[in-house]
Amino acid sequence: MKKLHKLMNVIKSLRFRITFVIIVAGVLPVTLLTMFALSQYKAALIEDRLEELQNASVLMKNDILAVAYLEQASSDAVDSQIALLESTYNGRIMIINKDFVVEYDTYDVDTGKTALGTNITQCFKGTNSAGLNEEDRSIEIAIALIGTNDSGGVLYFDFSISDIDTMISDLQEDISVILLVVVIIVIAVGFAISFYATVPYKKMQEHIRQLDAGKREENWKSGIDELDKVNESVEAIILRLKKVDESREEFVSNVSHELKTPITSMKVLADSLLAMGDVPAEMYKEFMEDIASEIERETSIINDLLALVRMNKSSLELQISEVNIVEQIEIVIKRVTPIAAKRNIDISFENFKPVTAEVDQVKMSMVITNLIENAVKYNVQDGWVKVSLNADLSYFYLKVSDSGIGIPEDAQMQVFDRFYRVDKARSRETGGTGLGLAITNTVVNMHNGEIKLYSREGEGSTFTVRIPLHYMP
Amino acid sequence: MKLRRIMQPLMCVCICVMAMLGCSNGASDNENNTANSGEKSFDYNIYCISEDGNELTTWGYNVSKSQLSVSDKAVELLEAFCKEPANAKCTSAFAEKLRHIDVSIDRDVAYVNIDKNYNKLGSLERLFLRAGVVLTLTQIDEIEYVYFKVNGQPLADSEGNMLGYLSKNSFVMYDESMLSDNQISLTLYYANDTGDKLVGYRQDYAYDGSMSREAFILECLAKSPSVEGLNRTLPEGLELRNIYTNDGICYVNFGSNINSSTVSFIDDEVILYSIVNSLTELDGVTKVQILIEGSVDTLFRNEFPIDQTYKVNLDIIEKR
Repeated sequence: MKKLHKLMNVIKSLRFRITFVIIVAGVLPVTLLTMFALSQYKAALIEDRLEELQNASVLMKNDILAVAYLEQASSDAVDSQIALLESTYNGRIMIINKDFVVEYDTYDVDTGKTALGTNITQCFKGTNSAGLNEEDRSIEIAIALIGTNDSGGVLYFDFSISDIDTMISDLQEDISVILLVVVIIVIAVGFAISFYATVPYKKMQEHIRQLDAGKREENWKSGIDELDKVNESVEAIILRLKKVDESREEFVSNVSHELKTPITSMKVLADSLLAMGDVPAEMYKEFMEDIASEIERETSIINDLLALVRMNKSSLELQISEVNIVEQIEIVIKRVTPIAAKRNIDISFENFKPVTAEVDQVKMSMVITNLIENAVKYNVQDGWVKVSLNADLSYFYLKVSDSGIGIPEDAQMQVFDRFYRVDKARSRETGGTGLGLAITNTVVNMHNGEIKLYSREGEGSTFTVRIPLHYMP
Repeated sequence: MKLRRIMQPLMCVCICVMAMLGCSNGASDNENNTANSGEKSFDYNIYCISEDGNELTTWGYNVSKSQLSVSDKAVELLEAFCKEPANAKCTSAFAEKLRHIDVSIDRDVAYVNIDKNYNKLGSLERLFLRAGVVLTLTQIDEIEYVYFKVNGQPLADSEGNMLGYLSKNSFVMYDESMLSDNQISLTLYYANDTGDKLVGYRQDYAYDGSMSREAFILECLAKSPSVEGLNRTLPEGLELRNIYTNDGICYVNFGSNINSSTVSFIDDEVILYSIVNSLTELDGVTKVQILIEGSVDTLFRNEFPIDQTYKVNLDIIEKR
């Protein structure tokens, strides 16, 4: 099993594949071509030989008939033709007369005997034949000796093509040697090319390792376009992960600070109370009220955190019900107005018609709260917040505008990221965790809605949320 | 005249081609085409015309009684010959036009008389008839020859020559490749055990005509005979380009490996004359001209010039 596993791994490697392809492409066509060429050549040679012998047979037939060879059994012309064929080729010539008697046999085996056999009989009946006998590797020609004086008889040729066979097999051997050399060269070339082809991958591997270790290599190129694109994606991921890490670190330090602040306040209040010794009841009450509000603050921070955690876990579950959106907005505005009043910020609500939608009431409430609270939080003294609600047949539209500090353009894409704070220093003052818009964004997406941001630094921001009236999972 | 047994032939027609390559001792039987694949062996084979009408084939026949005279046997065989075989895939060679055939035995000759309708037969029909009768009757041990008469007159060929006494050797049955069963008597010169002299050896060899006699001789010289004291002089895998005889000279065209391959302990002169002496034993050959790859400008076994012919050398033959 281990060996099979090892083999599978080898096959999956690019190096192996390149080598394999080069070997196959280099060896296969050449081999097939030479095999094909040789077989065609052999066939052509045999065809030629057949034609030559057929010509010779016709020539001999005419001479035989001309000199009435069968009657007198001797002729210089015929003899010299036979001698010529014997010296040029390797084979047997037989002349059979009309009584089926073998008048002449170059092998001198059956001279004088009466011959029977399919070849002879068929020829007598008028079917000449000429062709290659594959098994015996010879060309056999039978031609009837019928001419104008109607002599009758058969001329038979049987000539070996083993010299052609030998020549071709010798050629094949020579070609095999060359082919072997070619194969070796191709294999070597294959290895070399595959080695050089995989160098960029090794370089990339090293480069990524460097990135992982934290080193930045600006404008690193591998030399291969596709690899460079992969590298870009990898570098982007690493960058993003880094940012997430940084944000998370920031969040943790934020949260710890946020969590600690109310506790510190509580400790200070408690300590100072204890240090004061005998204190009238009203003082205790005052201090307790302060402590209570710090606890409340702590609680809301923790709630935010829990909401986030819950969001992760229950992200697929929405408790959908018919919710009166107008009502929800009014509730939030009522709660936020006192806080806004502290900086003399005016909140107005423009409502065009009653709106009821299929939404998750708790989560939608969080969205409305977050948007309106943000509008107040990031506002200026004597500023304003405008909330408007409208709806058509498919969607309702919630718009929250403020005259606040706005969001710089380069940060507008990132405000919906978790833990993202535009101005870290400021966030300590304003409080919060950087999670609000992230939660809002998640909830809007869960409802298959959309949230858009328009903002100008120094002028204000407008968040527009569009939610389908009818929930479709 | 009754046919005792009706043979049950099988569908396949077995053609036994005994292509006997090489030199094996002893004679081989003339096995002929059979219409039945015959797990049984019959007493005699009756010759008949094959289905395609192109050659003679046989069907098996058993005589009616074990102790028959030669004459009775001949008559019975001839009767079978004339009848259409019941189940075999062939037809009787006794043509329809013929009306009468009889046979009489005198010593080792069977005198066969046919009616004058023989003259109306085509040459192929006549051939099958003659060959069929001779090959059938000569299976009887005592009969060596057949003498034909037509209507009492001795049979002549188309030239008017008397056919005379025909034996089974007067005919040759070729297979698809024009090979036949033959025997030739050859005297071959092998090397002695010390490799310095030639030893002559004569025997009959089975020879089918797949190569010329000259080539056959060389092939025999390349194989070790099974007789003690004889050693082959030519290497196996000997490359012979061409060999033929013209005007008394036998031209032997070797491939280049005749010089490069070693035949162990044999002297080169012995090798040369084993070739020359064996070939000149043939009637038509008095001299031998060796070529190597078509050229005479080189030396045979790197010793002997071949721009000349060689005659028989009697001195190199071992004296017994």
